[in-house]
Amino acid sequence: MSRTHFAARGALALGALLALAACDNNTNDVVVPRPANPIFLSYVALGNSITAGFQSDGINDSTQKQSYALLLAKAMGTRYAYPGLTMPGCRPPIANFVTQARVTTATSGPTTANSCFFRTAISITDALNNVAVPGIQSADPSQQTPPAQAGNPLEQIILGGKSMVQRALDVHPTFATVWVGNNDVLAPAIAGLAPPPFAPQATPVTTFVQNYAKMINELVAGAPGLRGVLIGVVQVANAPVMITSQAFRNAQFVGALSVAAGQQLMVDFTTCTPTNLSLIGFPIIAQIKAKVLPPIIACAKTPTPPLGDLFVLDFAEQAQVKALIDGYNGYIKAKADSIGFGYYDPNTTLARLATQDPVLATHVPDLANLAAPFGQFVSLDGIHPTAAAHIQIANDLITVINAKYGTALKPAS
Amino acid sequence: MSVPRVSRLLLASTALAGFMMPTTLSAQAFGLNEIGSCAIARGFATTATPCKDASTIFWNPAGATRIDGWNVSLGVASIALSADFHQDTTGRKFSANPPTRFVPHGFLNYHKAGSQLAYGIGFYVPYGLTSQWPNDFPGRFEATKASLATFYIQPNIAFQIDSNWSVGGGPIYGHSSVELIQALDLSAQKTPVGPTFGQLGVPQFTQFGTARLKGDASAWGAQIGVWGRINDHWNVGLRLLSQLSFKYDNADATFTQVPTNLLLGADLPGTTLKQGTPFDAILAPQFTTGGALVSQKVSTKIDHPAQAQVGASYSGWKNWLLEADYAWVNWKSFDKLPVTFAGPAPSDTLIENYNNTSSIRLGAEYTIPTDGWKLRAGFVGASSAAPAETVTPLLPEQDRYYWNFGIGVPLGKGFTADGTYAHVFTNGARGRIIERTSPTQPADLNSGVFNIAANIFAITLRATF
Repeated sequence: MSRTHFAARGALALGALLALAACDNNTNDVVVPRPANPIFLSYVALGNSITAGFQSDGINDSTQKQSYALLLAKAMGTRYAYPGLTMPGCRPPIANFVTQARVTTATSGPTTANSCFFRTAISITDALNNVAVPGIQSADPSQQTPPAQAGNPLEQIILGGKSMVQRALDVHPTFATVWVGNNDVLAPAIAGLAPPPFAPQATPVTTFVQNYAKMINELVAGAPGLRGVLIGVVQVANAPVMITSQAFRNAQFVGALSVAAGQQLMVDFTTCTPTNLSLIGFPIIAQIKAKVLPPIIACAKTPTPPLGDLFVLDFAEQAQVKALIDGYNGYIKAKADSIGFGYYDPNTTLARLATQDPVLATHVPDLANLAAPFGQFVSLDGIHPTAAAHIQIANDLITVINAKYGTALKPAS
Repeated sequence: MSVPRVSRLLLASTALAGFMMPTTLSAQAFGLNEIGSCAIARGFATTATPCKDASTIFWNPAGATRIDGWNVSLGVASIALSADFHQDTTGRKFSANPPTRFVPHGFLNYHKAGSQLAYGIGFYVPYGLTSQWPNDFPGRFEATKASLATFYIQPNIAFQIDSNWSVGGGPIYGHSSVELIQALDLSAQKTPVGPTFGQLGVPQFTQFGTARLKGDASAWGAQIGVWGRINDHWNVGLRLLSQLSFKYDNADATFTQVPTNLLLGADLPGTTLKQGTPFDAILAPQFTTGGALVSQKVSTKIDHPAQAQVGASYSGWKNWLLEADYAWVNWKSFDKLPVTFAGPAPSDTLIENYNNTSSIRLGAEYTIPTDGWKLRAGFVGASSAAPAETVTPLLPEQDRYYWNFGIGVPLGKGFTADGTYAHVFTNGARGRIIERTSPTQPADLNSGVFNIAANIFAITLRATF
């Protein structure tokens, strides 16, 4: 063979090799998140303060990173974008239980409960995986702001003018968790179901059912094939923000609480009897400190309301609250069953944690431990879970998900 | 309140460069190679043995001495592009909808038999692009539509040094027009109280306006070529095309407000913004006299890069012609895209940082001895000009491969028709749908994968007399 023929054949061979190389078109696959299971391709968490990552009566980028929703997304191996709030937050969490001083940063200056630092620039995105808004009730996720929840800047800052359901659908979810309903009863229960104008009213079950059904129906209609878990409402009377009236018969406890109230508390022992079963809402201390209420703790209704009524949840009212929440949860579970979702009752988690933490079990804050007066699982506001509790919630959710969908999500840590 | 980054517009200009998207698939970046059906069919490997028509004025200006008499070559290539973007965040796939583009070419050459000189002129389109995306595409803030149309006119003179060597070349007049339509993103705009609307919760990719940029420019350059015969079977060739710098100094930028219908949902602590305030009312002054987004002049500059191509051909097998070429394009010249507004809109410079590109071009031609039909095929592999950080809707540049096939059919004395089909393959490339904000922004912020492919049909009629 001549050299020229050899060179020509070589060129042909080179061409053939290049042609083969051109057929290898698998070298640059779409690098989307590769979840543990295809059903987790796009996750969205709807909810309120707990889901958002609210702790110690505030929220910022640090607390948001401790949300069970983030832990769940990590276990799923899926994308997780949340509406990060610039430190120290909106509003900044409580940093000092006694003074109720809030988190600050080197550049923030003094902060108060009215301080609000907006979204971090890096958190601005088209699709959020956590669209939870602290403070929202069952009527809100289907409504665009305003007028729903007028005055809640977090609804604007997180949802940007869309409804929560609309914002959730922006991410084209394949899997959702929904934890809505706590705020339909939380504030009224803490306020002792006091009548207007002293306290907000709890949402009746029939209204709750209408609101909840509208939210879920919109969500499911907007995301065909959606899977997920509906989460029940917490029996709010079990939260350590509700202090047993018996604690106020302890002079040492009252003395320590008086420090937080900024003045000496007086206990009405005619109502705070050894057999009284009322729960006293901890926010009464802030009201006393602000001199909105007199520095008197009464444990049952008195002839001079709201003394003994506002922030006092008596035994009958506790039963009333429990029945209301049972009504909510009965519907939530039925709704989950009807749409093929899993159902998670957070009260099972709360009950288990109560076996591990005496504050949860006794409803008596540990005022000797001012860094964690409500125990290791509840933050400084007595309501919202700490990072440790979020892990427990995430793992219990994972158990529900694995059982419902046959997946193998690994526990969060 | 700050004004939007209209620079993207300019980006758009990139787009300029970029309309390339759809149409540009046929070469690297916004380059086009659809210049003569015969050359396309042979995988653009035509420098050493150019097609026997006047398109040699582009493919090797020196080759004009190899064609006797008058030669006219006229044709058009249709480029139908399909492209999509697969978004990480939602898993959604957005398909582009660019129109099929028709790219013309025309050449005229005269060489008196026995003369050492040949004269001619060529009209061709070496750069251009069109990209067009649907209205719900989140990348529309880079480009909803972008169009760059550039043509070169090249008078040519070739000189035959001896029977084995020729040189040729000529000046080039280039004209380029560009149009960019781009959505304006509210989330990036500052509010009157300091933070951006995005920091107040407005989702990214919320459109509050549309920007349109339109302009044209002219530039001068040159191309030269060398052709040589090594022996009876081997030829070699070289062409060098200079860079043409187009300065769009008097382009028109216009802006239109698009209602968002958003209201502020709550009083914002520490600000004067009150619940119920319409965002559109806050934004409206930007679009009226005294605002930043009023009609104004804008300028930019897009370098159409220099090219070099060298090749060798072999004709030792009866009725066969084989050629292999290497082509290089100086895309490094496209490193940034300055966008300078004459009015109040903020000027900007877009970072492109393109790399020089190489391509291997292989072609074959078989002549059916009984009737003179030509059967042609080619294969091309081309590297991407854009770094991983600059793959955007304007220019979702990526490595590409071509399979080309064509025929040449004698129609009668002196007339021939060439037809070609080519398919362009890519493997997809990760990219982004927002512009970079700093030169150090890494590629791992890319948010999805662009896939593109193209079908090209071309026909050229030529006459020799």
